[in-house]
Amino acid sequence: MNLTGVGLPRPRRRVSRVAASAAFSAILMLGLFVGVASAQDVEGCLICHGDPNFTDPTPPENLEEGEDLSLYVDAEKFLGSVHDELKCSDCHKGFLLTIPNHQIDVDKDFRQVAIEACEGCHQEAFQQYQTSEHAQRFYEDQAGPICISCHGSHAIRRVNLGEESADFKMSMARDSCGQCHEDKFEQASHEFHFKALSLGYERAATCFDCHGFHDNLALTSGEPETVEACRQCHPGANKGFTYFQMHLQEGFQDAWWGVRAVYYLFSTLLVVVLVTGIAYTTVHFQKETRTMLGVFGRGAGRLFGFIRHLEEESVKEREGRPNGPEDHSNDKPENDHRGML
Amino acid sequence: MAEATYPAVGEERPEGAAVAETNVEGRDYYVRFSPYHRLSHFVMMTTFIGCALTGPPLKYSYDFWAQAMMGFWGGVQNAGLIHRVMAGFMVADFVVHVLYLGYHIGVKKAKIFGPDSIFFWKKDLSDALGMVKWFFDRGPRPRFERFTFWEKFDYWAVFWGIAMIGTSGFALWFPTVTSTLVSGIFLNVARIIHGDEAILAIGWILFVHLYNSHLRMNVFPMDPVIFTGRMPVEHVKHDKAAWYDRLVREGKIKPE
Repeated sequence: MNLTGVGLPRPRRRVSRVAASAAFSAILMLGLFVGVASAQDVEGCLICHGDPNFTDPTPPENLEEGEDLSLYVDAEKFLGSVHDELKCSDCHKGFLLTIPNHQIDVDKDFRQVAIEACEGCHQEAFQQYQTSEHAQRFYEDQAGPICISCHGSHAIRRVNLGEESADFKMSMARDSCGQCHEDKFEQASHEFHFKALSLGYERAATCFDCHGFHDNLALTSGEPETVEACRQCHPGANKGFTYFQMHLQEGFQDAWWGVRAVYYLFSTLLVVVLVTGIAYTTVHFQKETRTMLGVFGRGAGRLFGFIRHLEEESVKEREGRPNGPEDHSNDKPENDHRGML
Repeated sequence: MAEATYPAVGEERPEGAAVAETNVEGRDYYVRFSPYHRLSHFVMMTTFIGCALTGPPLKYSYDFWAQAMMGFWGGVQNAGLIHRVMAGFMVADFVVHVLYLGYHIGVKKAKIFGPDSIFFWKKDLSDALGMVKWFFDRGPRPRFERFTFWEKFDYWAVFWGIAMIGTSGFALWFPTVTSTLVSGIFLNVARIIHGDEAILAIGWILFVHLYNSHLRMNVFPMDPVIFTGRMPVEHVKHDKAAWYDRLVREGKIKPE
């Protein structure tokens, strides 16, 4: 039975909230009791593995010299994980009551062992994984990710069935999917779904809301499965709806020419209009200010004229003479239009 | 020049009588904007501020201030609701204004190109050149008519902005309806238009419109004409000399 909720449900198959919260509280209660039992480390693994300096004395070949494989397990993190009620040997099958290097099937790749360990409880998730491109690539040349590539191992987080927080959805996208699909994550960050998510709107979709989390569909515009993915949140979505592009480069270099044309047109309009408007306004401002203060001069002299004028004004104010001898308003020639407002 | 009578403030104004008013301090005002104009601007202003405060935090969601601003509104959902309500009123204001234009042009046979019109006409070009000459002390300040060319530009910028931002906004608001009409890629296009035009509008209001109505030396700290509708006759004379001459000729204001 899938008690752990690690097999994240797809939104369209959501358990009702009441059931979910009941299950969650049950897990919490159970976790509290069993967590204490685990903390006692019934199998004694943490006697060695609880030591941060515990490393493999015969490191695998793919590690560099001096970079020993750490065999340390952070007990705190494990007890905070969703698997806190399990014993070590529930996943590390074949280690039970044997010394570590005498694993039952020592030639088997550790990744295959790990997959089988997860499969033991999470059959449904495992079946979905088998259909994914991730699995296909793993079985081909072991390049594709396995369960622990996305979920981690000892610190697998507890999921509140269908009630994930925006922070959780965003961090799953960044720390799991985004680890390999960096460009896709970066591109999706420019679209509304991720923006809303990063502002705490938990209903906005993250990677696995559209792509699924174990079957991991590569969604293509116009395909029925893509329409199905959109319809989970947009019930009226049709085929045309799927031609919306969630993953475009920030500058739209890879987009349809229409998108690029609109982008260049409106960016240019934005810059040209604002620059022209602000430049015009600035010149208007200085001219009007100069005119109203009666400050004349040419070139840089305008600035000094302006400062001199302010000084004269303050002197006049101090001496209480409203019209000082240096007042410019009377010696202005008739045809001088520079003072006209 | 026709003789005209000038009713005191608060006095009933007979049809066709002069529209200048004199306040208690003896300053003459000309009623430039009708109550409809003032209401229309007020709705435009408030809804614009509402949209401009709720939209950008989503566009710039990864900037440090966006989180705080969204928190102020109580989350994306609330900000989105406020944004849509404000947009609804703004578009309603726009639709009413288009009807108003249609009524004046179609029913009352108002001239589209003329001194009283908000439409651009040939004088605006010479006025613009005249302003540039004036900036560099190469000529007098142009004698403007009722609307200066930058006021007209402000007006048509709003017209264009609402058409662009409104259309793209509705497209994004109802994405599944949009995709029944056009391909979904136009939702990407709509997002580009909506964001770019919004930044343009906000930039224009902050740097150009606020300067014109708040920071210019002869209006600082604020030009209240759009709220009171009344413009001091001396401002009319200095700012819009050609209009002043025409109003005097038509007997609508006392010559200063």
